[in-house]
Amino acid sequence: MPSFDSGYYAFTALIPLLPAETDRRIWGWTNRPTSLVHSLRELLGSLPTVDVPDAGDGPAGGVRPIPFSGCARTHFARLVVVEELAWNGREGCDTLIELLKGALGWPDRQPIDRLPRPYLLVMLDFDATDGGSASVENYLNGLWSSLEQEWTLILRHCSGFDLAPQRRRQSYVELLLRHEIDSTFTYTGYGWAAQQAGLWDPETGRFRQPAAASPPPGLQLLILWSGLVLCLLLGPLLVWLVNQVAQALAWLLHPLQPMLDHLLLPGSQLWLSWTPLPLPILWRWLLLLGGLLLLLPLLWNGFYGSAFHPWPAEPGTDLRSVLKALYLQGRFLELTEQRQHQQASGTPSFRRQFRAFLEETQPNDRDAPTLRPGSIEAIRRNPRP
Amino acid sequence: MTLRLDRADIQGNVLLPYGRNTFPIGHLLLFHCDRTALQEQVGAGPRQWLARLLPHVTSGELFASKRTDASLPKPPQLTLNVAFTCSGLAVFGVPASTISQLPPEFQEGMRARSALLNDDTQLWDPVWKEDGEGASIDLLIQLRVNFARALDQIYERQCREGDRDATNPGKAAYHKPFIFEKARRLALRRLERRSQNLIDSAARHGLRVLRGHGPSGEGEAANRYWQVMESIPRTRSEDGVLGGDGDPRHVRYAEYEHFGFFDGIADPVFEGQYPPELQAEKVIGQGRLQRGAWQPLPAGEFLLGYPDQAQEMPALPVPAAFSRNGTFLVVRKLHQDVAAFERATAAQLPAFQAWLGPPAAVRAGSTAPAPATPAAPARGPDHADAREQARLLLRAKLVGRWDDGTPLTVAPTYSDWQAFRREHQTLRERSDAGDLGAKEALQHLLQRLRDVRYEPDDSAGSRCPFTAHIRRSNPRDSGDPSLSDQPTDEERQRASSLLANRRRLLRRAMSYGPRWCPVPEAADPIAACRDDGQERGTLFMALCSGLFRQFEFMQQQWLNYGSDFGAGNDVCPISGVADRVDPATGSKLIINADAASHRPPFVLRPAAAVQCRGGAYFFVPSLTALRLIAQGMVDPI
Repeated sequence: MPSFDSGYYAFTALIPLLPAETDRRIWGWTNRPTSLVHSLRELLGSLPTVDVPDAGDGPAGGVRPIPFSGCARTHFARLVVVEELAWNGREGCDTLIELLKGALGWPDRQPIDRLPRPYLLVMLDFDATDGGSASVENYLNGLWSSLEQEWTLILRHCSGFDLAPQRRRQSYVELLLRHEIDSTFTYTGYGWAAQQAGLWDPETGRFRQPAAASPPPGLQLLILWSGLVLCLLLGPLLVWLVNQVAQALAWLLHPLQPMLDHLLLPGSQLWLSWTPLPLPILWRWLLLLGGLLLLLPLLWNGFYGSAFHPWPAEPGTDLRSVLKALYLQGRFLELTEQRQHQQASGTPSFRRQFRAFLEETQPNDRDAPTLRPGSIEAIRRNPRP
Repeated sequence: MTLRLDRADIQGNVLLPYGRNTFPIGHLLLFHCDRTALQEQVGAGPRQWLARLLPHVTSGELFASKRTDASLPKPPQLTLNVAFTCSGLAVFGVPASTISQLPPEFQEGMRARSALLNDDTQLWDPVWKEDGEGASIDLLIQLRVNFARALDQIYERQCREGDRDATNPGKAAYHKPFIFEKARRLALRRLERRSQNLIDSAARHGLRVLRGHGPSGEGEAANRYWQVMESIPRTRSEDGVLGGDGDPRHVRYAEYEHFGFFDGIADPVFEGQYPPELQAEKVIGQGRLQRGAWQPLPAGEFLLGYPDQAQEMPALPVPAAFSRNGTFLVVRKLHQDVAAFERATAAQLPAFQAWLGPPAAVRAGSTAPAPATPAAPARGPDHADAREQARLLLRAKLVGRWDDGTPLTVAPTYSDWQAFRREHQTLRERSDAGDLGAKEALQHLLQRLRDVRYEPDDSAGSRCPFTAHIRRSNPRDSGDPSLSDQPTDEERQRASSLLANRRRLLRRAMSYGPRWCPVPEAADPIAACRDDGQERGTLFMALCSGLFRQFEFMQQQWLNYGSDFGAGNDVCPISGVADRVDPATGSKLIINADAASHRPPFVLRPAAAVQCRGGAYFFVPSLTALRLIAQGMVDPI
């Protein structure tokens, strides 16, 4: 699966941290003596993650802005320090073989993988039009403008970041791009919901059957091409193999010929015309095998590459649409409740009311009015009286 | 091979609930073991006391009843059951190596986990807070008294004194209000005498009963030694039981809780719980649903020492004899603010009635023309006015069942419900008269009542809302994750209860407190809903083998959070803990209209009327384990 899929770019990078012995004046951001990893973790932990209006004792609207909410394309951002690989213990093995190894004095230690130094894992899910590096660069540059201070503080713990003020931006983009790895298995939850919403038929009150999903064009071509090759290759091979087997059987049954002649097939001589493996047939075998061996890597490459063809974006799943949808849901609930109470005590024009609702909420305008990124308004308050 | 449980080794009330008609009154006592006294006696005192109590502990053996063999022993005068908290096990000398193998949620206790359950421990009664007199809860004793026997005795006494025919009393004659009240007092006296005996004997062995089963303060409540549990008595006319030879004013204990709903219907059925001949009937609607058929749940979901639904053994402390046939008990005192519940319903009723449309269309989310009025004359409780019909439907939408327990999936509209009730009544009368065909039809009808399924008829939640109490606490086949994205009706019919199988609880709840009554002279329905300041509610008791997986999951994820049902953070309209400060930002219940009706849903703001007033986690040992504890022989090796 590619990093870019269904209209999202799932950016993953593993950036090595500075060597442990680096002077702490380079990376330290507090006066307390801490380790490099501790310092970075403390910094990440201090970044506000979500803004819950009215929650807790703080003033409404949150105390500090959420760093990543400045960019209305970021769905999720995760920054994690990976210190060491987890070791899952020894792999199971045969007791008898172990016993033998022990008897022979062979070492029975299994290798343990280690990281040469800690890494910073950066995962950013954002809306993108294509998977090109220019697109990623564009996004990262946009992120820098609202997060310059945070990125600087974070990346000064990393190897290869240039702290000179005029080169910081360029260095940040290069560092992230240089250490990017493929996001081989991404998951997004909105696509299914958006697809369901598109399939809802208000006339019948049921969901329509979705049109059969067609694979992206690149994959279609590959399937066609590999199918053709397989038919051309396997067809004659199959015929030839059946022929060989039949002839071999006949050869085996050779000694029984007089009896069979007499009983079943009087006068038949044709089916015994095969003779044991002459050299040319062996050559033919070798040629075929050689051809196959050459073709297999080609086929595998084509198959593997086809997985990098992104699926098309589902309309209405970019962050702006999602925020607008959540906003509309909340406002519509308010309208419904307001309407319920009015119905019980006399009915003003619903048409007028709905028009006012449309004018206020502007359903077609994704940008305003809407919810602020990073803010969760639907979280229940503390139940303390 | 069918599993046969050793019923005599399992404590009573675990396999089957004590009947709420036979044992409708009980006491719950909490004891603390004095640590200083213990040091001198090295645990011998409390253990001796436990050893003397052992013969009186009621086991899970079957009693003679209507449904079981009449040759079985009669129900006892009093039942007695024992359970320990984690600190209690330690005090009674269970080795630390055994205790440390008990699950962490049990070791921590409910109070330490109140944040997870969204409980405010400030509201708890002093006795559950464990801070009154610096005492921890160590031991729980539950007593239930045989009310049926008291009723028999009072009735016979009346017959001896008066001129009534004692040989053929007729069942209905038992329930005259004054006989009922006399029997109730007799039962309460017996119970109090037994409780007092227990308290006195425990005190002689270093165990102190804990006080404060009521709100904090200096009043009588703060000094209560026990929590009284009592089912709510109702008259026959209130239950809608008409006909027969009974007087409608006659009173009996009913399985209704304080909000006025028939309670305790869904109780899981597991392997070995019932005798084989009863299991096939009982399992319908109560077991696990697989390929369209009901199967009993594995015993390991509710008893330790048996494989569970995942074919694993639940956490099992050694020695096996200590944990086998034991289980965990959740006790929660849930205060019910009935006035607030009724007020919220009354306040939103006009809007709901307007949403429903004209009375003819009082149907569960359907604007299709209602069927022609049944031939029966429009009078009596069958044909309440439109407001009353809407009120009952609104209540049913909150719970998922009508007041008498008929599920909305079976009777989605008021007229369906009334038709169902009439059919039930007719069949019961004919069956009582000896009509075998009617008896069979009645069995079939009652089966329909229990066989609640949401697929394929209520996939859209237009009958029973997705977040109604019964659908969210036991989703059955609703939301089966093994169905495809766009399932056909045939596929839906084979939906399984995969989601719910590992989240079931054996329910043994009891009510407490007097019944709430509206103010009779009030000007309007809202003003009539005045809180009388009385304590009332449900003493929620549930048994399961995994407190975290079963009870805590259900409480946290299903009752106090709605994401699994596509309802964001909406809580259960009956038992969820919602925002009490501002109902406008609080929880809601979305009542869907029929999809074909093109109408928006109704948004209901339920009252946060249930409040936890205390609770704890207990271990209910088997009779073998109780003996081991009493003898100080729990040996982990």
